[in-house]
Amino acid sequence: MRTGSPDGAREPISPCRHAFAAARSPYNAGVHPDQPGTCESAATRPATEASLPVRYLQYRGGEGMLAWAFHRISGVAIWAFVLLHVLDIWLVGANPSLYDDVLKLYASPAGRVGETLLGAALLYHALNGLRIIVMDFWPAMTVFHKQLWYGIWVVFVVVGLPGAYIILRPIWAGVS
Amino acid sequence: MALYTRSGRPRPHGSGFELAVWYLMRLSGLALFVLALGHFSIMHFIFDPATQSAQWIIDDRWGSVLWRTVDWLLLTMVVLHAFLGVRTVLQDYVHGGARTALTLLLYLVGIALALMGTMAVMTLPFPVE
Repeated sequence: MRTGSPDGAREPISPCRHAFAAARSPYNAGVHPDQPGTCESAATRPATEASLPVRYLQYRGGEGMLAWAFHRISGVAIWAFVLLHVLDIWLVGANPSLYDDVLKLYASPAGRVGETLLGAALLYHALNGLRIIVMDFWPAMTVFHKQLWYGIWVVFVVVGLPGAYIILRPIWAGVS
Repeated sequence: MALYTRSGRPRPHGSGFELAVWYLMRLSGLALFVLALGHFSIMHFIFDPATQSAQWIIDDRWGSVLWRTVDWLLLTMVVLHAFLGVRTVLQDYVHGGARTALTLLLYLVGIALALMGTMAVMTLPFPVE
């Protein structure tokens, strides 16, 4: 099995040892692969670089960082919705008429836009989660982490656009 | 041990609690790929919020033990996955005593939510024939 290490050893390699591993190596020992503190050190960075937030983004950059950031944002958003959703399902038994009012909110145009966003977060998190699992248990695929990420966006659009249409259609069809 | 993962959390060393959490996140994630996406599809593509009500849930949606079991499994997996996930987020951004306090609060909210959901799915009356 390919390990990404130049001599076939299973130890993580220094991320700057060759061109392939430059800057965005997935093989950084002990450091989150998409977080700073890996290849580019403060010593190699030009002193005239932009202020911190901008440098932070430039520093990490790339598809891996975006995949990680979207996964985290969508995950926390879904967590927040789960809090709300278990509470509203609890109302079915505890206060049915209040539950029906909450459902009217879900069926409203604003509710439908929110559900579309929720579905998008869910779909991205599910697909990228699968991508993470593939790379965790089939390490050779880490080399193709970008291609895998582009792949999940293809699935996201192909599945997500019809899904969004079905959820949003009642807004202009006047059903609800 | 090499850390291959990209955009996920590197696999922790050893065989302790952290490694168990790492595997649990991936196992529950796989279960949720089916359960959560399936649930969302059923509630939005097959049915629609406009046609749903508390009575509809009692009569149709939760009219059988099978569907209640499926939804209880979804609840279990989602509470595990979501709260352990936010725990990782807390570990990244909060340190010291605040981390301990917030993690404890997080666990309490997670347990309360699991209990509320279990109560909802188990105590709702079945439809009268």
